[in-house]
Amino acid sequence: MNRFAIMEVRIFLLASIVFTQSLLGAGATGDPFLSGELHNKGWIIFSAQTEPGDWDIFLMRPDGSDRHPVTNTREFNEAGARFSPDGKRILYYRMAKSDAVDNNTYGRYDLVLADADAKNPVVYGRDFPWASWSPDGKELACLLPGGIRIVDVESRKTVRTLPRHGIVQQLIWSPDGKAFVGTANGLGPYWNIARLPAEGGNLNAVSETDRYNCTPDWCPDGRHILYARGIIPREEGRAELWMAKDDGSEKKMLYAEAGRHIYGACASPDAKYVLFTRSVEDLGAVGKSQTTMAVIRWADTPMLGDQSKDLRQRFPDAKRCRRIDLGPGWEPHWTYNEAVDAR
Amino acid sequence: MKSRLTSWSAIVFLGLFGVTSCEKSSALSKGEDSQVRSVGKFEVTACLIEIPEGAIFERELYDYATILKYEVIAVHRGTLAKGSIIYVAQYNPWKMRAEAADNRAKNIGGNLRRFRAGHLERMALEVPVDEYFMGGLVDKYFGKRSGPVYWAVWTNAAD
Repeated sequence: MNRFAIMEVRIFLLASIVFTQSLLGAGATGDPFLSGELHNKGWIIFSAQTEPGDWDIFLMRPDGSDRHPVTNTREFNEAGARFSPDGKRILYYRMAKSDAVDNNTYGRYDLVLADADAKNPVVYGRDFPWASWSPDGKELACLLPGGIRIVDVESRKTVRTLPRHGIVQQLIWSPDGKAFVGTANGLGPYWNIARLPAEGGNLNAVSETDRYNCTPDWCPDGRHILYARGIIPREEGRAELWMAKDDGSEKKMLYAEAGRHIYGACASPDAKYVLFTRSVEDLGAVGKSQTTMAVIRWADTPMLGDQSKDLRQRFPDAKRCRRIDLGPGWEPHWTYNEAVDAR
Repeated sequence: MKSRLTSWSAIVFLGLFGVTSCEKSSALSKGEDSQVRSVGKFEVTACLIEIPEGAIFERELYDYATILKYEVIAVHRGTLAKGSIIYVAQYNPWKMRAEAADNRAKNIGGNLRRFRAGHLERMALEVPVDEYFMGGLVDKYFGKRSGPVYWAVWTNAAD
């Protein structure tokens, strides 16, 4: 190869890198084509630790660009943000900076409702644990020891209460309003993912019941549920991202990685993408877990995030990794409402 | 040789008996203090029958309660039958009871330092557990037990 040919190759490589960087949002790394698909697909809201050490709510484009805080409180941690179904409002939980942000407890603190960009916050307080929006955004379902309490958002009055049947945290109301999903006792020796009909009735197990499972969320079709399929106590392994039908059938791995625990999955509103978190250390407490966010195409699942031989043996047909890393963040949620950020 | 075997057998038997069976006669007034006598709707002296494998583990990440099986030796308050088997949820059981309380499980405590099968505990209890604790339960008796699960409010050593 002569000197001109080598020069041409170098120029081509340099141009490729520049092109790739232009497709990727600031702070994101990974598949540039996926990144290009995602830029204009609404907003992601999440919590992340700031330089002073507290946790704030942030907004970001799904390709990782335009990341910016929307709460700026130094005395509080803010966590667990979720858009209302129309994407116009958010709920989140606020706690003292001295209270650790924890996967299993954040929903026990002060509920705050605000506009989708966190403006005009209204503190509802501690009487609304583990709140989840109704499909029309006019009610909240809250999880208390005495049951699931349906509350009118405007008046804050209880509309009705139904038994919680062992659901203890991470309650989410289905998009069609017909059921709840949550992390529950009473289905096996550990805590599992359970579905509860909104009109009352019994729980059914969605996940396997021989291990810890948590952080469930509904898929937009209201029939499938994403969840973290956790570990079996005292055995090796990491939490993996799985999906099942709401009756517990059709369990399926979507994403797994030998070096990370996968939690906090959230489907894009059109169910074409899946957003989730990757933690070096297992959750509970998020502060020391080195948790980052990532997004993949649904069509690319099942996917393995690394070259683990054990995982490849378990999932021989899984696809190679094509994800975008979105940087530090926890409990992300997604809306396609473009009007979220009015800056 | 035979007599030596017999005496060793007796020692082993007594050792096992001490670990797995409660000394019931002299302990009924032990473990009493103002807390155990006043909190909860039930107060019993009970023998911890066993600790199933994996029921108690130290894992800072998960605050959990584990369900343990007891035989009621004496009833001090509340309607429970002497000799009955009860299942009791103990919060973060790898911690000393005096250090177990936190934001998720307030107002629990006691002087018991470590759960040991075959030992007596004096406990103040509430029931059902769901009304007093909203968190993960490790239930090694899942599918094998019936009846309510009690919530341990106060747990003192009683032997």
